[in-house]
Amino acid sequence: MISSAPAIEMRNVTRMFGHLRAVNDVSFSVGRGEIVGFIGPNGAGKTTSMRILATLDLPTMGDALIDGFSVINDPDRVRRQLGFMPDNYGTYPHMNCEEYLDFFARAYGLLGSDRISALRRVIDFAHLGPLAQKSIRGLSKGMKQRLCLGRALIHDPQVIVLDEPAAGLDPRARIELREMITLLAEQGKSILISSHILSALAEMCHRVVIIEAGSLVAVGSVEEIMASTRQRQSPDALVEVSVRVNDEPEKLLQWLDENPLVENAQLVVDEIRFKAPANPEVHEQMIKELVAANFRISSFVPKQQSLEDVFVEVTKGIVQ
Amino acid sequence: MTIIESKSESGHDLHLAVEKNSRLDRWIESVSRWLNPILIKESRQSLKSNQFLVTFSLVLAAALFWSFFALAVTPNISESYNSIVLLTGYFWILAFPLMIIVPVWTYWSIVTEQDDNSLELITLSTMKPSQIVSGKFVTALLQIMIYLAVIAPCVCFTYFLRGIDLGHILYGLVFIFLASICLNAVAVFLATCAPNRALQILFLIGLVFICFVSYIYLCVGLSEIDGLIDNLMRAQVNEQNQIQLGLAAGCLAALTYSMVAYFAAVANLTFPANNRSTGIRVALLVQQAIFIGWCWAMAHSLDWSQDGPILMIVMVIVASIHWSIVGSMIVGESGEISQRVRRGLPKTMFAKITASWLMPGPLRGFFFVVSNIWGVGIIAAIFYSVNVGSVPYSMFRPGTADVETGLVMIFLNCGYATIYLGLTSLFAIWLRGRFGFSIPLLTLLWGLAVALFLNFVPIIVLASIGLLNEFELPILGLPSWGLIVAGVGGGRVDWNDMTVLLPFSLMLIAIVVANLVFARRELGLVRVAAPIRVQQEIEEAKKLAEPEPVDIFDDEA
Ligand SMILES: Nc1ncnc2c1ncn2[C@@H]1O[C@H](COP(=O)(O)OP(=O)(O)O)[C@@H](O)[C@H]1O
Ligand SMILES: [Mg+2]
Repeated sequence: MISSAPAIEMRNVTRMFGHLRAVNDVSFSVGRGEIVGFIGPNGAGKTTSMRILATLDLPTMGDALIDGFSVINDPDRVRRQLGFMPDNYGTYPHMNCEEYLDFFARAYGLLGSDRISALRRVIDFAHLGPLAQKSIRGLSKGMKQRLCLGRALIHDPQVIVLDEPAAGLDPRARIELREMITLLAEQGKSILISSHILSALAEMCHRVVIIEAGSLVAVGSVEEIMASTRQRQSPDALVEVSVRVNDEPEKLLQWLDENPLVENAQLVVDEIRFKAPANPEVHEQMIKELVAANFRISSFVPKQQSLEDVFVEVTKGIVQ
Repeated sequence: MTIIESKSESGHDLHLAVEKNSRLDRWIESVSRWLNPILIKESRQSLKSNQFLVTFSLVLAAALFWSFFALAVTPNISESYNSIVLLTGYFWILAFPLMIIVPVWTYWSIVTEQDDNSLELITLSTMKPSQIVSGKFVTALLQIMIYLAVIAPCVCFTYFLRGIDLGHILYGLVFIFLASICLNAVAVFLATCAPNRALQILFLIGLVFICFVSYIYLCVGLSEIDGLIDNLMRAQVNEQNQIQLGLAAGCLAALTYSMVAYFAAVANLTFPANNRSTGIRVALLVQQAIFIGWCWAMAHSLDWSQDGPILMIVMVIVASIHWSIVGSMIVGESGEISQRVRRGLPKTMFAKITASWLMPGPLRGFFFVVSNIWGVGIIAAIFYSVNVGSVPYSMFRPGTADVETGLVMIFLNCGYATIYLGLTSLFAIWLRGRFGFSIPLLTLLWGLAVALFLNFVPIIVLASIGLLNEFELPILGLPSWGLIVAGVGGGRVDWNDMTVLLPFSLMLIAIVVANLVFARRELGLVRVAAPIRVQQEIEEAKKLAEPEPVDIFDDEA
């Protein structure tokens, strides 16, 4: 059913465990068809927030809405709309994948042909076909994650909450997961996906929400967050630059040592690294001077701010 | 039902029954849609486990061994004494899995599912908590049936021996079956109560203990089955009724408490902001009605002039002990009345008067329990005063019966129960004010402590005025009894001596009023409208128009 409400809306959610504010006044929303990454170091409050969204826990203060329904007052309606994949979960070792999915299909009240088509949809989507008759006990982590994702999708929910689905997966499984999630978003589903590694999600998320020690520290697209951290940097911050020349690196080294803007120039294997002001105009000027001094440079690469740098910049390493 | 192409896009075959075209498979599929999903899951999961196979084979082996052993050791098995021994041996073997293995399995399967989050995933589905609990229950039932099927041939075989008739067999099987049902209810209840590993283990030990003790008691009891049935056959019609009513009392008590435990387990699995109370309270009301009905039947079968009055007093005493314990937990309910619950509060005057006590809230709960206590009291009082005139003797001292004595006892009894409960409720109110929450287990402990303390006080008072020699030990649990015997003298109410009634009544009123003052806020809560988004959805559902079953406590109704 279509309504104007956002798919997920956290409204000033606070969850206390005794005196610990595991989630502290968190508000954000996820639009329809949007993939939002929920990033934070371990113990930041991601799982707690997601459990509240999934109606497995109650906020101490505030409320959260899924498709406009309150998780406190209309958990039954929320549950119909929501597919949840927890960070750790048990499976029934004596069952095979198909029986497992079949059980949850029945639990969602799917009968007869509806159930069969739901099973088929999920098995095809999560590439579980070859595993369907395999005992769950023998599955690898990646296969189990696919099974659990399939389980979360069995009732064709419009809103999907995934808690650290990529944790412990090998690169191939990660790529598969990313493809599946992107596909889900293309089908118009709204997805909140958590991770403690920003770079794991940056490519597929339309936006990210960064949380630390229970509080939000940044919300926006990855580019916006990178831009804002860059802005926050002081004008005389330094950046590492690596330069390659086709001949006479020692001469270049000497030239750089004489340049007042450059610090710490050194030869590493076949390139020269040094620190210079992060300002791009300084770099432009420097390249001109190098060319003018007849150095045959083949590359001049100021080090890009990586996602991990952004993450470290935004979060402060607070431990509760 | 449509049978779909059995190939999916990726060319993979689904192996579920619906995919196959044989008539049997289709039949299974059409039946399975009515079965509880948990039953289907467990029969795929747990009944395949080694653990089940092992216990199953052991029971089978024990039954076979017992048969051969009995045949070999006792040459003339057809003698009635030996055949009874053979039969009770089968009962011992059958009761072991039914009363110990199955309940413990039920408990453990819920606890492990809770531990590995599987239960959470199930609660997130559209299965209702009652379906989850009954799923575990029918799985237990399936196991019971399997074990019964193993032992049944052996038991049937004893039917052909001398001295054993259908009565022997049926009584034994029915009692074991009922005991197993009750123990499973206890298991389900305990499993849903245990929040952490330590308590889970503690409850497991408690459960094993309960199961084991009931097993021993029931089986020893069944060993006497011959005597029991003989008595039943030989007794007068009147006595027969009473023996049967006595047996019925045990069964009804066990079954109704199991029913309450079942609803309590459902409540434990119900989302906190939903209504967790009404189910339990309705179950308690049903239990109360059954209890009163049983007392009525008993009173009818008795010679009223001999035991009738005592029966009425006993009814009140049993009811007030029951309600003091149950009530101590009810007043410890969470004090937070969610918006969700407020959407379902009664709207009309009539509904407010009738259904209000059934709605969540510890103070509504307090008045629910108090009305029940006094309800039983009033019924007993009416029975008593209508009939006691014909009684030629007193239950205390021959020749001094009168109406007032009984009525005062009933009044004091209900009063005591109310006072205990009122104090517990005030404690719970303090807890919620101070710490923001109350726990039924804590208020229960407090309630027991209060009852114990207040029972010693009369003794100390009476001892200090030199009246303790009038006491007997049972007084400890029944203060009203002691007051009557000691304070009134001779078991006869002498109104001049009833000075104790005045302060007692004042205390009673004060405690009820104090609770009423605090209950004001809870009772003052009014029904709230469903949020716009919910109304929208209901409208749209109406447009799709499939009249859904109406739930009177739901806001959609
Ligand atoms: N049930 C609980 N009881 C007490 N503290 C908890 C509970 N669950 C989580 N916490 C605490 O809340 C904080 C947030 O935990 P969590 O949400 O699991 O973090 P994340 O998923 O981001 O790693 C942690 O400090 C954790 O110890
Ligand atoms: Mg986590």
